[in-house]
Amino acid sequence: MRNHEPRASSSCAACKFLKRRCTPNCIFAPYFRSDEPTKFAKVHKVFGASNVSKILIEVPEEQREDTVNSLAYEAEARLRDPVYGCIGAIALLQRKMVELQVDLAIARARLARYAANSPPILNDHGSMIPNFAEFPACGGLVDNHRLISVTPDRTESSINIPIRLGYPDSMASS
Amino acid sequence: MTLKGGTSQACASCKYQRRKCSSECPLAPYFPPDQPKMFQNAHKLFGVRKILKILENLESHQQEEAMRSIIYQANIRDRFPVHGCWGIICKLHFQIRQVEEELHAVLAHLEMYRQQQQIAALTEDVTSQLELGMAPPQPCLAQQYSYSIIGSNIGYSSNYLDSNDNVGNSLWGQHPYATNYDTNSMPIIQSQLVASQPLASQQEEVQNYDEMHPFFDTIDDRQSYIETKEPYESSSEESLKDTAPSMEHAAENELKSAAACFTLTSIN
Repeated sequence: MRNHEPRASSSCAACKFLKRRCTPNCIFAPYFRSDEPTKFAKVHKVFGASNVSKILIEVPEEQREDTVNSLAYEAEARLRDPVYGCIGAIALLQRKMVELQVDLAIARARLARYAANSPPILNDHGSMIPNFAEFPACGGLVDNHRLISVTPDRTESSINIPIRLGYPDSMASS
Repeated sequence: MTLKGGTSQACASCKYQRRKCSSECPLAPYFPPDQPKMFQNAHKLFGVRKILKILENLESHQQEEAMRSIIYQANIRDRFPVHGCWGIICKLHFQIRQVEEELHAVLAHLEMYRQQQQIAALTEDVTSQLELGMAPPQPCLAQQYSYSIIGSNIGYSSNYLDSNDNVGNSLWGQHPYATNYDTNSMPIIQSQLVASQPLASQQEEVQNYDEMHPFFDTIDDRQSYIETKEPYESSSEESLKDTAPSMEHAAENELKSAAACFTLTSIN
């Protein structure tokens, strides 16, 4: 009994877009379903099918879905903002982080002054509640007004940013 | 490949493609010959044609910034082949949440100290007036004053508390592809994905930077890592919540003791 090949209606979005036959081992098929045609269209427009295919081949199969989703996000960002793409979002978040860190440093300094000049605040059990000023800043992210971020772990299972976010030396000393 | 009769070297793009690098090569300013890896990353992610396509639709003053963002994005993708810049954005969101929580806790603690000082100052005034034999204070007014302090808004009006939803949610809010990421690697992010604003609002934010120029100067791709410390546990935050009612009891006790002094004085 002849096993018929599936008709074009079961082609993935990528093969439909590229107008080619979708084979059973099509690398795009699991991640670009036929009901999401714009997803592949955007990725193809920004990165190209060939590049996406090469990127997917290089990552483990269990991580390909995440890879495709990240590429789709970046493609959409680049289409919306051809100049900065998703880098604009990163810049915005980094700036926000810096401002928050400054606020936190100021608040902690004020708290330290209060703690030094005031009696300790006790809880219902009569125990002294901890003084935030004595604890290190969150995640070790602040060091002399420079943001220094994260770990050398390059495994994809835990996302770490090996980017040193900082200001030029002239600003760091201010 | 060098220029005919010239001394300048072909750019990394033309070297890679093994073609002549003319003086009008559009990519030559961005891919110096001594940094082949940079071009390889950009070529791997975008490809020369796509890069040129992006550039041709931009004004000349935007092309340099666009190229810098393309190169940066490609370098990130080279380091993080799976998550790329998306992973960094998620991580930044998480870190911002952590810092915001810590800031809120510190501000709450600060407010308690301020209230404590205000109550102490108030009771000192009452005591000194009693000692001087002045007219008795209105207990109800004093009580209202202290209660108004306690009941006042503890929240600190940080710019980020209001803008957080606008910025953070705009990046992921309704993104249709944001539902299938690896929950094991980013469990926190799911709680942050609240619907609302599309990426268009991000566009508005981005267009406001003229300070994107210094932004790329500050990004140092050379790795200088510091181990992240564990985020500060919120157990102290819980104990802060426990102190709020104790502050009210302290205020009431202060008033009662002040009233007791008043009673003794009046007998005399």
